[in-house]
Amino acid sequence: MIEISTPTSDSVCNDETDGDSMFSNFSKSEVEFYESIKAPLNSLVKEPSKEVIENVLKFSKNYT
Amino acid sequence: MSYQVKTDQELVHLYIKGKELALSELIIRHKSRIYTSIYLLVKDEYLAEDIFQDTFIKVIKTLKAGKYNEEGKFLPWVLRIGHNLVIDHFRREKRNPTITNSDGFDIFDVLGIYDESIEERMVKQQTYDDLKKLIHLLPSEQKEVLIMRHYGELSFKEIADLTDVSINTALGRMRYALNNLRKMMTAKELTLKN
Repeated sequence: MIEISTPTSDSVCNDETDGDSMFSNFSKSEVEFYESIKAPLNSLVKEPSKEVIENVLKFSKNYT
Repeated sequence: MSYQVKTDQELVHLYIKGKELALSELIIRHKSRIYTSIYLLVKDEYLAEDIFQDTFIKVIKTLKAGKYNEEGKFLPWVLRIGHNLVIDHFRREKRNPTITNSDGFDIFDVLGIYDESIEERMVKQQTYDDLKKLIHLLPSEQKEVLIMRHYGELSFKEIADLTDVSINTALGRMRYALNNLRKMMTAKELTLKN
């Protein structure tokens, strides 16, 4: 049985202003772990079919 | 000037002025991030395509009606629409997105590992497939933040705005997502080789 934890507190960092640099507030091991799963996460990237894209573009042309 | 070098904002303006090619460029630029974000939440290719299409229909209607808010960035705005449509779908279906079965996802479609041996490829496929399953075991709010951060490349401020929580909550959810994934991988003795 794997225990999945959920946050009980919001206090992770005090920087409420800079949304992009916050990763620096994570621990080194957390950042390293994230780096290690980036490749497999990237491998899960999928594309919508050409048909769907064509449908969207067709809708756009006909929509006034 | 080519549309490829224009910013999202410039393309939006061109589209509003009637340049249909600008929309095409926006879709080409962001389709993977938007579709993957939707797909990993609903875990069904066909449903994800329907929601992707509905997302852009809303985008088109909003832009052509002149109701687009200039203050926001294009991608977070589209991801918000897609996210809301996913929520609407699950509300309608009244089912939990974390317990649906996966579809016929074929890892070989996306992995560039054809030069590896069959054995290496099979091990890698299994490992990546296991990771995908573990992601789906995360609590939905943690999975959402991980997907938005990684695939949408959103800042935590943008994620917080999109999900109506504080930045610290979004950060906390990301931290818990990473720690839970690591715990589950350790429990399964899952090792990643990049």
